[in-house]
Amino acid sequence: MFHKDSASDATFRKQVRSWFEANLPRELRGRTVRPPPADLMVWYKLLSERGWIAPHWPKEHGGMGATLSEQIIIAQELGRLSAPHLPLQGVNHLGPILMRYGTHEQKQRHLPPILRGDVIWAQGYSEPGSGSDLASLTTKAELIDEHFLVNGTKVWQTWAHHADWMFTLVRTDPEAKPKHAGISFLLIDLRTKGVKTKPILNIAGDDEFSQVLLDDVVVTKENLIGPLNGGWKVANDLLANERLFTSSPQHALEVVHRITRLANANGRDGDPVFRDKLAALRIRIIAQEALFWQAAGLIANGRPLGPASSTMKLIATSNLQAATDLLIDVADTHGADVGRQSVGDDDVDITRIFLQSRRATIYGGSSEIQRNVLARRVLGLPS
Amino acid sequence: MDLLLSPEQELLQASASKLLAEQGGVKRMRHLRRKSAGFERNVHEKMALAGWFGVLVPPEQGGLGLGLTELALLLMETGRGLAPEPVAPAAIAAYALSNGESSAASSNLLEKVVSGEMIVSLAIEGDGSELDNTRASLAAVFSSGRIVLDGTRAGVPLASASDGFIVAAWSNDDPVLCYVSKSAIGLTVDEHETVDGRSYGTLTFRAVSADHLIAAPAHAAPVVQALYDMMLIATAAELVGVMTAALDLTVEYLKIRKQFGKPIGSFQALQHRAVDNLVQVISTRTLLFQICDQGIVPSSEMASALKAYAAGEALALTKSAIQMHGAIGFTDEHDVGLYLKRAMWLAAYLGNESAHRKRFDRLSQFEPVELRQDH
Repeated sequence: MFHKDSASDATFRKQVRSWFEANLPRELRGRTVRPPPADLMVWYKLLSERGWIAPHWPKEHGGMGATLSEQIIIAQELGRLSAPHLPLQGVNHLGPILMRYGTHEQKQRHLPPILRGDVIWAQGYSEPGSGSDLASLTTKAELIDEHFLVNGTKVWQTWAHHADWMFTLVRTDPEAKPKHAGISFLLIDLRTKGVKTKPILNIAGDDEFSQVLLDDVVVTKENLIGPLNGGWKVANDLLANERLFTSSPQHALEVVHRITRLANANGRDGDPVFRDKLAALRIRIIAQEALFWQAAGLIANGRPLGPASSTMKLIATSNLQAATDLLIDVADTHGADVGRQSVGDDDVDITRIFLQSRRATIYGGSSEIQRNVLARRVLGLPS
Repeated sequence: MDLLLSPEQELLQASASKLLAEQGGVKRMRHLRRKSAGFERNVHEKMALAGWFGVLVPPEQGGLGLGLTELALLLMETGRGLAPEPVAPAAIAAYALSNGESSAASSNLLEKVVSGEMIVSLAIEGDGSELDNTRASLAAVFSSGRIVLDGTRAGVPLASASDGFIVAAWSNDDPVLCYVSKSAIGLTVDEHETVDGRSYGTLTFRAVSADHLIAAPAHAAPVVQALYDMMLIATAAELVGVMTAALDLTVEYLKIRKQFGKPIGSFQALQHRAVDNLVQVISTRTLLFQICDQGIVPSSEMASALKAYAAGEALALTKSAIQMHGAIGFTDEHDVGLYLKRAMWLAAYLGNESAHRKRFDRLSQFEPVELRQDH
């Protein structure tokens, strides 16, 4: 809408589209719920062999070295086929952190298995007592000679029960003030003695996330990333690209496609009340697209996103939830049905999509935390 | 805040802001409320001198040769300062004259509009809010070299104080664009007061001879369409200015007003409300600029999306601004109320949120992608 592909980007898009259409397994398209990692690794490995699993990684680390517009094209084309979300914690979170803060040995050891899909990573930040107030985390890592002794509980790890390793934040200085100055960034092999993972059933009935219990877990010192007690900065130094992609209009638009298919199938597309709601939603998503392309322009010019990422997250998540509201609305009396409904060529489990979208305004800094950030950093309101 | 404006654009915005501040800012508007002219000719001329009305006119026709972004910047400042001069109608009337058929009459009029010597308003709105509803409301008949108009035009800003009007009428099934001076025989102007202390007029044409043709039926359709869509963008730009000013006033107040021994801006309930308003300003302004960036003639679909969005967000924001000011916000004395009232008029002008959502829905095609193609 607010962007036209350059000639070379248009060629690239064609190439990506035809390759995705030919290679993305049909049973993985348009799924309501992401299948467990085992079912997804076929697609992960296909992308890996093609050299497209890590578009934003530089070539020297085995990535694609794609320009920002090429990265956006890949994301759009995946969205176009409703490709499933892959376990990309390693590619999207840990990889860039290692490139920035890892030693040569750490990079050598961990980056290639991420690219190949040989190791699945989980992110271990939250704890039962530390959610929005993450800096209060208490999972203790005592440095004893050449290893850490780790004790505590991590929670809400996506797919930790399917993962091989976890990158995590641990308390290495209990006396530190402020609290975030006593936190370190540690990698833990989930097969180590004393580690237990327990899946948690979420509100949508999926066991996507889990709890990780750490009981006298011995972690060698080579697994510390960045300086001791310097983990807060390591974890929070997210790339602008990553903040951009989490706020992509694609997520809400995918739901709008499903709403439209459903409305076409059940006749609601002629209902003026529905049409007004759909138009309102689509206009909100157009405004989000405008923000997205402006932010992409900033990043492409090497400028930081800053607090704009909070603005974008607020808008993106409220649009996603407005879209899932309309999805159950359009289904009318079927708006509380469990299980899939066949709509044309789509199998939709609408209540699951609706329930899944509840997390959007909670994780990665809840909407309330984003508002706190904007109140202080942009409006300069007092505390 | 996050704009990608060029240094020239920033300079234009800064000089517009300075010009309006020098004329007295919001205080000036307060004094002009409910007065018959409603604006000041000498300020209008200062704007003209700064090139405001020729912003969309090519340099060879005496304009600045700039685009919608620059027009939007001027109008954001107009909205922020609540300036009552008819900036958008003048700049867009000039665009119409420079894009119509070339004639001595048109170029003469263009020169006078750009120089601020004449006040020309736009009469393109029918009884309903959508341009397309105008067909029945004003008929143009070509008769022995003259264009004779019969019918009405609604929502003409500052009609009584104008010297003439750019009028869109229908000749059978084709639109035609012409100029009619206010003194034309058979033309009557009914003035309506609006909540923001200004007025608009309803024009009634009874066998009125147009002064001259601007665009003939064969060519007028895209020009008329462009004028309407540009006015939607212009109105949204003014709304963005109104929103910005109302938010600034509010945030300032949250920092100085104390209750329970603390500035009320330290309370999370008010912080979050103010942040939601900030997000409304940022998203509306970004949408405005991204649409302006698409070229001088906006797509009708996008123009309606913007007008609907800006109208809704601006009303929500200015109401919230009143709430956060508390009792003082409910007084006539405080400026924040002026912004709510201005937002009310701008939101309604040329079609409100509901009307433009409907127009957007009608104009836009949304086809869901096929999921499982075979190749």
